[in-house]
Amino acid sequence: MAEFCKISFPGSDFVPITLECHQSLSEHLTIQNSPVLFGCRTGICGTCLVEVIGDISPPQPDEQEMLETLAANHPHARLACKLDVTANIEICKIELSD
Amino acid sequence: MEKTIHRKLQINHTRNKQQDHTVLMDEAVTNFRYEDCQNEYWNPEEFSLLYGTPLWEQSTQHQRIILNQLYWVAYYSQIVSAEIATIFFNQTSAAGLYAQEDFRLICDTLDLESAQERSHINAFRTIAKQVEQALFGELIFTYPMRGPFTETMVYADTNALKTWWKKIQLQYFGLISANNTFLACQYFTVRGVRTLNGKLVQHKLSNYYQKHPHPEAAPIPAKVSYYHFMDESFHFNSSTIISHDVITCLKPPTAFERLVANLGLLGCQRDHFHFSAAINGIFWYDPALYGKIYRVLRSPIFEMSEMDAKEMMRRCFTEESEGLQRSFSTHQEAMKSYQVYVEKLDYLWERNRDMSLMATNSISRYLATQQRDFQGFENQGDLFLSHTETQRRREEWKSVV
Repeated sequence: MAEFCKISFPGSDFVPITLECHQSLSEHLTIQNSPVLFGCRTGICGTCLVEVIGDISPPQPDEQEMLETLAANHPHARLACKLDVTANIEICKIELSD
Repeated sequence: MEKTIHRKLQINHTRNKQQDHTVLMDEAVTNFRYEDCQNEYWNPEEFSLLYGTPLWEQSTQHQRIILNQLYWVAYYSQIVSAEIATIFFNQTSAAGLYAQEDFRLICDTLDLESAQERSHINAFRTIAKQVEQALFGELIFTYPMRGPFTETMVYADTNALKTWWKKIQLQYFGLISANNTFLACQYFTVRGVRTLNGKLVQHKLSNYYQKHPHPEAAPIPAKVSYYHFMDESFHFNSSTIISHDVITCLKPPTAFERLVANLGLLGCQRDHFHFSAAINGIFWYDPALYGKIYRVLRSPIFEMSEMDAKEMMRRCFTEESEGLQRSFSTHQEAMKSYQVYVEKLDYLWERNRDMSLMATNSISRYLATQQRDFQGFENQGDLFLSHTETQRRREEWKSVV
């Protein structure tokens, strides 16, 4: 397992951010340094719905239930506030109306 | 109502009932005794009154702890006002949503939220009053219960006419939104923006409990911050679903509805225009705080003379500091977050979509305002010994104790 993880935002002008493994994204990413808007920050509201490419653990049942409602057609959709980051990942914003 | 929207509402309501934190909050507050946690921080250190200002730099460890606790007291006193208004507008909006299919689910959600707000108000006031009584023997940041039309922020730059006009506008909005589904939904745009700002700060406050080495032994106010944060997550979610999704089930707004909706959001920008060197994360107009900070500095906690207290305040409020930079940074993050939150609402005016009113504030503008207003304050006599002021505070205190 990597000690540090690089969070990249392809398709945007935001520069990558390096975090220690298991650090909470909602404590380090803001709308000013990433394309992610964090709303409730507890995996309920869906404002931080993103597409994630990289090696991450699968969603827990609560997150899965929200993902099925918010983005049933996106196989890589995740809620950024619930991610346990353990490797380099790429994050893109998903528009809810998609 | 579209199936996905209904499903979102259903998940939000069901989970909020299952994970309701009000019982835990009520229980915690019943057990609150200030003496049990008076010697420890209740928030992360950077969330202390006047953090990063000359006062903070000069304070002893004991005084820093008090400043940390006073941040909690002052911050949640503000939240009390916001929640009083929320209870009222939840009801008027619920009436306006009557014309919506599946309105019952939304109204049941709002009823649950209002009940939670009442528990939050009780928790914040019980703790804050006990703290201020123990520290000062009087109210400073805590105030008697108010109606929903009283200013939810501290405004020193208002006057009787402006206060009256704002009250009339709020009353009128309550009246028409109770009979208009679009405006009832639009209320949740404003509520969403306000809660979005709250989450920026409350997430950090709640982390203090979540990351405490022994959460069960954490100070009760820190637990309350966490319980509140969790309840409010559901409230933010219902604001988002109603203002972003339910609104799409309605006919496009009329010119009048657009006007009222935009005026509401412009008012919200006005409310969120200021940032405070004393309290990071609240849009308080600092000249309105001068009297309160003065009382804190003249109290037995700081024991400053009249001259020393005013000089310290001059340095804290009229000069640039790390604390001011941090508050401005939070203000900028809030503004940028609001822009993204409202970007898909096509009925909004450009100046509401880009939050241009909020954007005109800056550190230099803040300092210019303080330098102008502080002179007037500095030239006043010793407020601490004013008979009228003492009398007023006694009466205020009696009405809440």
